[in-house]
Amino acid sequence: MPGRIDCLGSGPDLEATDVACSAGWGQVGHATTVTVTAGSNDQRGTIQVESLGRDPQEQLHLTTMAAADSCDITYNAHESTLAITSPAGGIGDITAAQVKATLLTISDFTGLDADITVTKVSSGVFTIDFSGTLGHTALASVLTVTSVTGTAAGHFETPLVLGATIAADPTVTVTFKRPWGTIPTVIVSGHGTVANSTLWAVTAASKTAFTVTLDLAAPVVAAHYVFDYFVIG
Amino acid sequence: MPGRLYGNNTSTDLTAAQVVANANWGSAATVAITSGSNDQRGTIAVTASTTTPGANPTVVVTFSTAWESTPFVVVCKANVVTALPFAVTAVSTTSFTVTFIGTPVDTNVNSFSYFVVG
Repeated sequence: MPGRIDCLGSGPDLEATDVACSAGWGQVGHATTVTVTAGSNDQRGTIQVESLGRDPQEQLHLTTMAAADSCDITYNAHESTLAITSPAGGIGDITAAQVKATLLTISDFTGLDADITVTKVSSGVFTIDFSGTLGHTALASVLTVTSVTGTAAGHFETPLVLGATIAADPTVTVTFKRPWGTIPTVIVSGHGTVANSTLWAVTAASKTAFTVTLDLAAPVVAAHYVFDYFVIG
Repeated sequence: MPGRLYGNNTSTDLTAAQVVANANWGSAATVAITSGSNDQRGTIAVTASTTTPGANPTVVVTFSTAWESTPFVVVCKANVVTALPFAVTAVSTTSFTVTFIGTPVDTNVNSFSYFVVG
């Protein structure tokens, strides 16, 4: 009886650097996480991509503010029309509601009350989470503290997640470790869930690489999409 | 280091006569066979006709040389014009049938790649 086809060691193993993801997976400000199953090579293997599409988040640090000192916030060159003003108790008494009210006067955020959440972390430190209309998108720019009066001082700093946009039909391109002598045929199938099983398609193949497309209009945020592939020259 | 698997030159290339799209692709459907496609592996595209495609159209591929025993066939989509999948619905020593699960849209090109192991 002839031996079975065994692709173990039919070329060096693929590395994550051999796998390139399109921007549609949500790469803004972050590297898309790619996991290549050990033993995957030019012949066959399994690759997992984690979609990002994280909601934007910024953190405001007000470092110095005496009573009645104030500062504006600017986003995308649009300045707030309502300043954050330190109450009589000083910086520690500034509330999340004050910060949110100021943010909502920036023209880009008008009417987005439900999509902006401000949480007070500690004295003068506030986390701002964007969702809904602003969710899964890349913010155009970073918030800045401007028009300071008195001793007010502050800035935005880490955690700073500018978000990422997931697009329809994101792709994964796998570069072979060695070029094939002929354009190979590549077969893929979903791995892990029934829902994934019909979503992948091989949309390009050459002697040096193949491209797999996730045929999905709206990939789920922060989900793992996995495919198995088999290549024959 | 072992060599990689090659399927070229394992049989003669498929000809148009060996790939038949049934009437549910529409009366004027056309078939394109990627160069080098053969009994082992390949890629086939069917362009649905503008005239009344039906549900679950099929493509029958006849092997150039009959296999000694019924082979195993796997397929996957080779483009993304629709989320509808292909499935292998019949296999014999002389041919296999691939079914498009759904009703194709007029003029859409629906492609699949296949791999056959005896």
